[in-house]
Amino acid sequence: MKTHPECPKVEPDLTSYLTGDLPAARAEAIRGHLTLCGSCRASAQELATTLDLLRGALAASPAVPERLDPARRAAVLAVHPSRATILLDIWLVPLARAAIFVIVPALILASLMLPSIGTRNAVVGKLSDASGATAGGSERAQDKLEDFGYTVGPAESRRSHADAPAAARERETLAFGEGGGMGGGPASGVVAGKEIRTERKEQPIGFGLGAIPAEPPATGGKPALGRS
Amino acid sequence: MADEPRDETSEAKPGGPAETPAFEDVMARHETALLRYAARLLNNADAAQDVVQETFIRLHRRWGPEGPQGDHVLPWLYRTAHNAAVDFIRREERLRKLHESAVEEAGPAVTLPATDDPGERTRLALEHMARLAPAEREVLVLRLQDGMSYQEIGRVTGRTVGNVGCLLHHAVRKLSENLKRAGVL
Repeated sequence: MKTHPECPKVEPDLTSYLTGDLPAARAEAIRGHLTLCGSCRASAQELATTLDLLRGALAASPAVPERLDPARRAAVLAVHPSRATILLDIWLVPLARAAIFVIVPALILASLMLPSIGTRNAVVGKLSDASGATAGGSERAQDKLEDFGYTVGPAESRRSHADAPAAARERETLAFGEGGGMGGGPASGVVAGKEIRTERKEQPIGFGLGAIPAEPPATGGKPALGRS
Repeated sequence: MADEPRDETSEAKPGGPAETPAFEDVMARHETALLRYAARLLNNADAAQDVVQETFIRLHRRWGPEGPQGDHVLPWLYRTAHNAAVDFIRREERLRKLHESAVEEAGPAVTLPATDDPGERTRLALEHMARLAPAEREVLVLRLQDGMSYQEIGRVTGRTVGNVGCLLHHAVRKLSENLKRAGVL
């Protein structure tokens, strides 16, 4: 019998074609092929006969029981929903779902917060380092400006490097909180009328908003910058 | 367990003492189909009773708001019966092989002449179907006996639609060739 190039593709679909489980377009293609190909038509006929025989055999099967036997039925009906199942269904499953609704957003929030906290700490550290450096650098810059003949700030607010230790000691006698805020915190204070003096630690001052002047300028806050 | 009757729509609210009537209704409605399916799959009527009993016990244990309800009950039952049958086959592998060898020893299709007797043809068809692999028998039964679609068979057996179609075709093709050799076709 003459075969067609399409036969190998058609043959696997013959059963689905006969049971009506193919999409309409594919079924139409198979139908068209069967009109042309005698070999596939014979094959389809054989499969159709087998399917009919099977349907009849499966429909009329006296050996298969129709009901559970009474003892088994009684055993099934004697089973109560287990306490474990009730506990699981009524309590644990809802609790697990609720926990997921709480834990997942919390984890997402934490994942969003933690990097920003880490970044902020890193930025604070860097800025603090920078402000510490700026604190020294600012004085050097002011000295440079004065070398070029500029007057930086009121004269009484300016101190020479030689006066720095004395000024530091002067500041350290101030009460807590008056000296440097977060950055350079006071290293000494007065408690119950007794002066407490500690080693001054060289720490950065503030959040990098430039060097915070240890003493406010006397001329209304803005330092003068002009040629003397 | 059963203190008050419940209608069909109330089967979604078991868990208390009132679930038995609806559960019994579900059981009565589906047990025949499940028994036929399991018996065909296992080639063993007693094993089918065991499998269906186990299936309904599992359903009864889950009978509650979180269990299968409404249209989901039947697919759940078939899937559970499928799993129970697979478990049974694994446990009883040796007995299954003995059964298959017994079927082969009694295999008249190879030796007997062709017959036009419808009863004999039916018997031979079932015998040859019993020799197929369990997976092949299963898709045949679910499609030709229970009238399930490929999608429904896929949900019961855990196969893809394409795999179901392929398996079904191979089963029918193999059966067709065997029946032809036996003179049935």
